[in-house]
Amino acid sequence: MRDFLNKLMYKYKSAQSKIQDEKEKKQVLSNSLEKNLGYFKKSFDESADLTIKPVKILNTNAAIVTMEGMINKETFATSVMNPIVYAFSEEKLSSEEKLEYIKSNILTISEQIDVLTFEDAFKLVMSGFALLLFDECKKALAIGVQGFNFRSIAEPETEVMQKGSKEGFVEAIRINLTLIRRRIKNPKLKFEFSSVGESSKTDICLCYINGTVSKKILAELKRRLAKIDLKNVLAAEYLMPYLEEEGDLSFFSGVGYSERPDTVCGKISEGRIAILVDGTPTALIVPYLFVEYFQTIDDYAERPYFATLTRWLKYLSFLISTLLPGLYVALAVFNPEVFPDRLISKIAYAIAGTPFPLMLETLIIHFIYEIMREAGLRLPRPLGHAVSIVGGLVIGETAVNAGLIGAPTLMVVALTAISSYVIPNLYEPTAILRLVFILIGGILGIWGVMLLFSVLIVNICAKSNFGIPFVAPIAPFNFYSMRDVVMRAGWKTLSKKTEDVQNMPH
Amino acid sequence: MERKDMITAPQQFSMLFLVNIIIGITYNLPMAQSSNMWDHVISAGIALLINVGYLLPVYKLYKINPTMNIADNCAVNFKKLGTLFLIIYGIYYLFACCYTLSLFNIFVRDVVNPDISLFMLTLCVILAASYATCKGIEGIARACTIILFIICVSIAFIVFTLIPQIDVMNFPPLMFEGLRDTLNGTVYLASLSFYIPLSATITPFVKGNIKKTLIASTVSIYALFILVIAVVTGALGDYLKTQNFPIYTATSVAGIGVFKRMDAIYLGIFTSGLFITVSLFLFAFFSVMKRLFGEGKSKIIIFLGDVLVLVLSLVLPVFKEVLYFFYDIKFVFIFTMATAFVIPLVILIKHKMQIK
Repeated sequence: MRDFLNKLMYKYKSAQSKIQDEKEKKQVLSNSLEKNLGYFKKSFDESADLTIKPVKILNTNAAIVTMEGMINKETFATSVMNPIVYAFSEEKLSSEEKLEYIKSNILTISEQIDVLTFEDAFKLVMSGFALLLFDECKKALAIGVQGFNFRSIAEPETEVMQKGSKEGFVEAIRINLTLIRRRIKNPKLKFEFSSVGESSKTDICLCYINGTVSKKILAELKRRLAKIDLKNVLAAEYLMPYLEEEGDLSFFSGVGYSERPDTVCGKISEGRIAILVDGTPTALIVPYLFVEYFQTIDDYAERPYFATLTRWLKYLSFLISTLLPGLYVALAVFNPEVFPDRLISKIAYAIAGTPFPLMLETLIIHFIYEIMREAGLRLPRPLGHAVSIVGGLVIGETAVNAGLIGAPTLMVVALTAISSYVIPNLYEPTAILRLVFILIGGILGIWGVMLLFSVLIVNICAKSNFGIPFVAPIAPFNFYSMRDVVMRAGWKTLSKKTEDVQNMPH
Repeated sequence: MERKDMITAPQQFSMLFLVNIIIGITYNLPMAQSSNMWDHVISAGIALLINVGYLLPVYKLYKINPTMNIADNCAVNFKKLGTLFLIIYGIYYLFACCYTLSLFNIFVRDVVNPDISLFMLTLCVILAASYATCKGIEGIARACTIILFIICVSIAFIVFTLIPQIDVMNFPPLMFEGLRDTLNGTVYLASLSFYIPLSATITPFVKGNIKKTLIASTVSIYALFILVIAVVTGALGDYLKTQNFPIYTATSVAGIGVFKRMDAIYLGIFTSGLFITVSLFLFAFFSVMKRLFGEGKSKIIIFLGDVLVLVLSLVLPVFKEVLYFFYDIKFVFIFTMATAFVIPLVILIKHKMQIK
């Protein structure tokens, strides 16, 4: 009872403090410079990176508020400090007129925003603006002098392409916008900013082409974004569950992601919406279809015949990475007659020579492989190679020679592992699924494997996101769309008609 | 009674076609009380005509009110009798589930004979089918098109590998041993028309040309059946007379190069179809129960239905007396005719009388 009351009290207090915070944020700037600066200091609790520089401009007390490390010092000195300190006017102006005078006649920086509330002031200062405050003035001026250190544009390591651009998104959202704008020089391309995260106030930007995007999808996306109740948004992936349909328990995500501006531009031009999140080099893409997991930007740079072949290799790899271990266990245990005569003797010999049942053996090897993969990912690169050597030589060769595991099982797991890297975006669901398939294959044989496979098909077929069926255009079927699903038609065919995502059959 | 269009006519076609393929796989000569499979080519032709006749009342009812399924029609046009009709449909859909599943169990236990727990397998099929039913007709329909594609590829593979084995000597003259085999075959095939009562429930969810879909699915089903009979008879000949499940036998002799005895793979693929079939009948059962008891209570009824299907499909293959009644083609024929033709016709007549 006491705990309950304490909890109730805590909830009440935190709700009250939230209301107080909201009230304070909405508070308008005061006439007094001293009060305004005092409020800044109080709000930031004298944080070390808050810089307040008192200056005298046109014989009036003023101050410039910035955040350390968020501004370009050179631009700040040459384009803000120098001009305003030496500003001169013969007319007798009020503080507000002086601010307007500075804004119109002195400053050369184009990005200038009038600020009336502390909420806006905090947001802009923390985004790298310099805030100019005058005494006896209820308005402030935010001057765009952003300039912080960020990683230079480089090829994304997770989406390496043979052909095409070598540029990838970086953590700074504004740089990412330019990477998109440079590729789509269309005035209808719109960037719409908002923020998510109650505490982090992370900037996010919706990128879409007006006229191409579905208004219904856009409105639904905004509704879902508005409902996000996260405290901090430190990566784009935080938003993914909020962009899915409510109660969606599918294995696969209906939200795509890419680190490549060219991929994102391609998606935007087909009516999708990209969501850029400040601090993350990944753009989220909605709505995202199942077939898109198998499409890469390289496909469109290759000759159609080869691109079609690689696409089929990806489909096959997906099936191998999901089904092969389960099928192998099911057939080897319950229906060995399926294997050709010479193969069956080798498999039988291997199974007979190992101490564990085949299902358990396959599961063990899979777990060892997953452990090695995780270790390889987290370790520094030189050590990662060492893990590979230990895994390949010690666990692989020695375990087979010692008769602990069978060579065919090891080969099946190795082939599965390699296949799973062909579609890296699907690694997570396939890793889970293949373990389930191994278990089912070992208990119910081929019947169980096919049953689970059918359940999986229903699972992805029943999924829709933003009203678009996840498996479109396969089911519901659209023959015309097969030119970029079953095959990759040449550009002359593809360019005849662009298929917007909202026009997928549903 | 607004019902949102959720599935397309080709999806309905694929569902009806798949249901029949799966029921057809367990095509069984002793159950047909016949020894000559080749005569069933004529039976298939006659059964096709019977099915077209069966479809008429269902289609007419749909035309009168495209938003109402058979459960709605029963409830709206009749009161107490409507409830009885609804119960008959509910039992029929459960019967269809049990029939398909129990035959599959007999098939796995007696013919394929793997060391798998039948209880576990049946339980998994029912659980999976219930999951699909919860996902709704849209998900089942979309999945059905994909699974049908896989099944058609495997059937094409079997047919093409059997064609070189066809011997003209294996085809006896039609009706060589009289009319009995043909007539029994006709009754047997017509009794397996589970897809017509099913279409009476799912048709209002469909957008597109229903008439063409129903006719196309009926014709395709029997065309495929005639093709399979021709290929299997030609390839296996008299060997068929000793086989209970001739289509399974055909899959076990179909092979290419070093890949022989691929029957396990085919049967695995057909398990996917079985899952869709059971899901569809459970969905139809759910629709009827929803009409009878309302949304909330029908969920409990569905659970009870699942348990009943599980018990019956496991118990049936054990008790031969019940089994003979359950698989008696006359009983199945009458039950199917009642739900596919008689009840929709009665509703139609009542509706016409009300208008007059």
